[in-house]
Amino acid sequence: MKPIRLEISGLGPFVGPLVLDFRALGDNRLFLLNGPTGSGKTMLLDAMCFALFGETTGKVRSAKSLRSHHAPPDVRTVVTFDFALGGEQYRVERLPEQERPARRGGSTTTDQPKATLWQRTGISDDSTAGSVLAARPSEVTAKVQEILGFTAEQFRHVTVLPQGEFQRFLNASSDDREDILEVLFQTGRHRLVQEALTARQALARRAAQSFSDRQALLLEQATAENAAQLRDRLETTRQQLEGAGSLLVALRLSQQAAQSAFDAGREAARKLDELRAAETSHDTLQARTPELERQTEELACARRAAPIMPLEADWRQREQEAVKAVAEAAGAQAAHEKAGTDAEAAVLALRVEESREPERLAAVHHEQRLKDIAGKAVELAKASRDATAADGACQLTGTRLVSAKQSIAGCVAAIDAASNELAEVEPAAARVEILRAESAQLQRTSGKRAQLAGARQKLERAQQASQKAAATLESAGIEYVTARAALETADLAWVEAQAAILAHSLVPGAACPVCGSTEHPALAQSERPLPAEKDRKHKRDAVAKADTARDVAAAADRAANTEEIAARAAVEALATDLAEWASTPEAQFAAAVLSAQGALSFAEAAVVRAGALKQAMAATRSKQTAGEQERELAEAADRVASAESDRLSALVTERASGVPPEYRDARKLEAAVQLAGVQVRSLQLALQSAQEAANSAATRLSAAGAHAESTAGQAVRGREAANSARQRMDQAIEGAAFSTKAQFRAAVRTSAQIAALDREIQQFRGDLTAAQERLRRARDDASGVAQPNLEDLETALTGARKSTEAGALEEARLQRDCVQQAAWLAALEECARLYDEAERKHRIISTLAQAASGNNGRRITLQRFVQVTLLERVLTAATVRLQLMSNQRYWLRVAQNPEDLRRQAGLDLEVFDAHTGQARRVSTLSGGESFLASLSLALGLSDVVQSCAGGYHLESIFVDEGFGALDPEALELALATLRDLQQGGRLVGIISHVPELRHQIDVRLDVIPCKRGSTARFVVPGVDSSVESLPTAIQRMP
Amino acid sequence: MRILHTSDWHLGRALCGERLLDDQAYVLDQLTRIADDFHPDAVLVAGDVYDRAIPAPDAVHLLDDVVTRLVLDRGIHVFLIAGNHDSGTRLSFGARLLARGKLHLVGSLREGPSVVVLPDDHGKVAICTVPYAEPMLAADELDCPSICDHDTAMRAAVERVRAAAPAGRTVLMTHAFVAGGEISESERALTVGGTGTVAADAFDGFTYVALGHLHRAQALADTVRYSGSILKYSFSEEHHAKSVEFVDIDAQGGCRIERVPLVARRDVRTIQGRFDNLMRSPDAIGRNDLIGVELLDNEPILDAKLRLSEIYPNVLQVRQPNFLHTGGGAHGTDTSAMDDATLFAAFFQQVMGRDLTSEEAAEFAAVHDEVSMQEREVTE
Repeated sequence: MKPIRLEISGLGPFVGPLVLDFRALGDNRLFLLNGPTGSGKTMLLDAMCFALFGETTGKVRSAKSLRSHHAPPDVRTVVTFDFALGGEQYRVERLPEQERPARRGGSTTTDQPKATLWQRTGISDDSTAGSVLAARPSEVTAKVQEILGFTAEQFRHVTVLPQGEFQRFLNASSDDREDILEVLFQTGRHRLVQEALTARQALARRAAQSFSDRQALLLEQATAENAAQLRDRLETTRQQLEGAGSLLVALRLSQQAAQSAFDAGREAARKLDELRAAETSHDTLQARTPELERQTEELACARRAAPIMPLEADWRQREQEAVKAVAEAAGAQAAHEKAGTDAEAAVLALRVEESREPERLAAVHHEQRLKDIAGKAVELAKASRDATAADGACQLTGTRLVSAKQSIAGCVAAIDAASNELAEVEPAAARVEILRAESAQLQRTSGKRAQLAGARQKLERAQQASQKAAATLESAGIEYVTARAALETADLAWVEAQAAILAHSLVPGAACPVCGSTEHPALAQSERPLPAEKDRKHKRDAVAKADTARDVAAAADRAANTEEIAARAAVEALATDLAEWASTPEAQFAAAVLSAQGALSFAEAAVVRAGALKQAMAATRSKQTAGEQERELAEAADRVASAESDRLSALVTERASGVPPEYRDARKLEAAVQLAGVQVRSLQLALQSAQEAANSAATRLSAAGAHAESTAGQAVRGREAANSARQRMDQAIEGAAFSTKAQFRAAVRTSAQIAALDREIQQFRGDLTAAQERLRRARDDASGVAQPNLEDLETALTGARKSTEAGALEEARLQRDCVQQAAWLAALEECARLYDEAERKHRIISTLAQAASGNNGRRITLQRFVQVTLLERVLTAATVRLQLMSNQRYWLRVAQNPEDLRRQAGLDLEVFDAHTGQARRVSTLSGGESFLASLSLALGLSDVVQSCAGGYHLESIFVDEGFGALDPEALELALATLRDLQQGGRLVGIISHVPELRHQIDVRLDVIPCKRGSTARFVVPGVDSSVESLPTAIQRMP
Repeated sequence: MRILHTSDWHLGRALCGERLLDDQAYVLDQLTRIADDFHPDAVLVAGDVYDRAIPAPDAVHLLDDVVTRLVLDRGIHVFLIAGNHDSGTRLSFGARLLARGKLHLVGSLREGPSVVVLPDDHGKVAICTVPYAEPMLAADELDCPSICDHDTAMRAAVERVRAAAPAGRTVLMTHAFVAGGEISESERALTVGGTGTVAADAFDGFTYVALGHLHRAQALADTVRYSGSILKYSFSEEHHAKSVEFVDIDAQGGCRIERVPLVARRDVRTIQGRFDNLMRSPDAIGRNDLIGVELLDNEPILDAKLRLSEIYPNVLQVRQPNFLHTGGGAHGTDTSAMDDATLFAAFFQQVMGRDLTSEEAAEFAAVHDEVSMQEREVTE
């Protein structure tokens, strides 16, 4: 689990909103969480832990007490934590329960705790949350536990080593350690295997038991004591079965005999019955013979009538056709008459039309005349348009001419004005040079005046300095004299005192160093106190000093004098140079300067103006010349335009004469032309249509005449045909021997009826023949046959059948018994076999289950075994680091001998001390050593977890305090170890107030108390951030 | 001009818990007496003066004493620069004031290039000093954003100081890990990942280059040298000979270099052997030395340190490399690469004293598969 971003509001001392972006660390993997006591360092870890699990790191603070007292009551406490795990990114936001004042009323209300978990893999924008995975506090906690694989408790052991709590893994009981190892290394499945083995053992035992029960049940069903008894019984049954079989065979034979006797009797009876039936049927048929004869006759008549029928039909048809033809002929005649009348009428109409010829001609002429006028009118219009255009052109040229004249006048006026002005300005411009020279001269004079003033000041200063130097010299002289006098006095005193000193040191009896005598009668005395050598020395020094001072002052005085003289000379030189200007007062001089400058500027302005005027005049002259040219061109154009205009108006007048006034309007003319045209056409059309009508009427007449003729002919022919057909028919009836037509009609039958009659007759003949034959055969069969006694025979047969059946049942029963007993026996044997099998399996499983659950020589379960080996690996990894940090003194290992053989082999830890050659409990380590051991353990744990396949990712580790318990050498070693961790890519955060660490670790997260609460920011050397939003400012190293 | 070049005093350091301040005082006293004999014009201490950023009071007192004796009593110019162990700012307190009195403290690059010109009989020699600085700090103080590692930082600082020095004979003193130098266990790493080394050609053009940081006295070129630490600070330095360098610079800029050894009050060394032998025949001399013991026994020895310290009172550490830890629940089985079946077989063998029969193994495999399938169903 690697932290990415933490945002806090209203939590602990952080009023917020405080945003800590761990990405600011860049590539640095080791950082120091730094701040004074109580500023809130541990609270940052608590915030992370709270966000993930809803609990704090230590048990000391509860989640409810996280609320910041500095925050205003309407600010909600909220922690938002972005973290990465493996390749996925998540965000969790959590708000604890919070009391706040209600919006209405004066009481407080409680906001419920809230939490949300998002997945945001691949989202790079911090304000986007991602897809929601869980949205209630308990769900979020459960989901986080699932993702990370830790509960809060385990998290505290491995990722965050909290203040005072990091020793817990070190000092935890075996069971607690077992839980942690189970989660970290997923040894749960070994426990599951253990349990499965135990379960299987129970199953196997039950299976064996069930087989044994089944055996008992089977024996009970078979009502046998045991299998042997059952086997004997089976043998007996088999023998009985054989006996019953042979009996049955005999019974079957006797049954067969009875059956055949019965069959023979039945056959005889049948033959006799047959004879009687044949006789009966023959007699019946014989009785029907007369009927037969009648039918034969009928048939012959029908056959004679048949061929005549078609002739009759023919005659009827021809009769009908004749009638139809006559009617048609009448109709055609009527039509012909009508057509005649129509043709006459059409011819009359045509004559009328032809008589209107003169009208037509007049209309055509009129039309032509109108068309000519229209043409003339078009030409007139064109000429008018041209004349109008020419007028317009004429006007334009007139205007152009006028404007050209005006422009010329204007130019002339301008030139006059300009030359007047020029005459005024020129004299002033001529004087400009003279004035310039005067002005320059005044400038130079001004400069020299300034120099003179400066030189005068310098002279004053030099005079003052000179005076001062003289005074100093005098006083130095006096000092020297005084010092000398003092020295002389002191020397004198000393000389006088020598005698007293000497006298003081004389001892009666000792030689005097001056005169050598040993008697000292008149010792010199000193009235004054004895001067000290030191005093004299001081005075000598003073004299020397005064002497030096005096020399210095003299030199200074000389220098000051020289200065003064030089300054004076300078002043005089300058004054001569300036002559009368030297004494002019400042105001007067300034006024002169000003007036000179004024005159100069005026003259310069005049020069400029003269130049401008000259230029203007030249321009205007050229403009005037251009204007003159323009005027000439305009006059010519004007003349041309007016000539054209005159010509065109003459043309217009001419054309107007050709057009009569009533047709001047173009629209009216057009309408008249059209009307004339329409009239002409309508007349022509009327003539045409009258001609066509007459032609068509004539055609129709001739057609109707032809039609009437043909239909009359057809009617005649039809009548003839009908008559001849009737004749043929009558002849045929006579030839077929029918006396009357009525007879003939009566004899007619359809062909189907004829066929039916024929069949019936044939049939009867056949039947009769057959019945005769049957009778003959039956007589033959029944000769010599006697009537049997069927009842007796039947009784015998039934009896035989019954006994056979009984025998069969008996045999079947015995058969079933046999099978049943054999089955039981087989089942019993099978059961016994299975029981043996199950029992064997149970033994195997039992061994495994016992071994796995700890009933073994070492009293260790499978899971515990795996955990112990894992723990050993962890300890090996931990020991490597502990060796480094303790100068190769300590090893960590699993405790060797459990104290109590009844308890399971444990996961207790002990530490082996190379100095004593003995191992002892980890609880005997000192505070600092204990810290190093826990740190090594935590690092060892995470090493091993990482290397296990599917192990959880422990990508960061936070160590809260503990470094204060280490001496400087141990601290150095611990830090070296933690620095190495960075190379494995792990993020290591250290909370400590130890000052040495500040010096050694430059990457820091500073927690800073401010007026209300605290704030925090990352300090990463070399990183400059332009984002200055408090409190996320990331600064360069101060 | 005669220069005494020393470095890496690490005042206040402890070795395996034993404070070495008295030994350091002893050696520094020797150094002052050597100065009396050889009359150097300047003493150059090339960094790591203290062992920690906030040194212990007695370490401060010792430095005060040594420096006062050299500067005030003998009138020698003393130059101290900060190394990676020192806090530069604290070390250079009062630098400007003390410079008037011949004590030159250079703690950081912030005050500009440090060049002190000393006169000798043939003219002037410029002593240029560059204290240790972290690359990022150097980038800030030299205002040079292209600095990214120790090599570029050193080059930039040396350039600055070279530009400020007058032409002629120049001596450079600095604290760095120069490529090609031999390290020991007691130097603190300058950087995690990467080596923090500086190439030797960064120092071209100086008459003599006095280096500090590596604890072994060594020469990378004729005039580019490490003086080494004044005491052995780890058992890996057991075979080093500790010394100071005297450098005579003549008028043309040639150097004559003499190495003067230092004798410690207590030597640092290791002894090896079986415990019984060590107890029976101890060393005749040097019993009070700071000793690291390597026991060759295979079994643990009870109270080894206590008993050895009866003979060698300053035993600092006891190691037993041959001692194998085969105790514990699983007799050192390495289960990391085992699959579940092999794991169970090993477990069974250990707790029941015999191997699994093939039937038992098959039975276990069946149960294990069932459990795995159930697990999968649960997780899916």
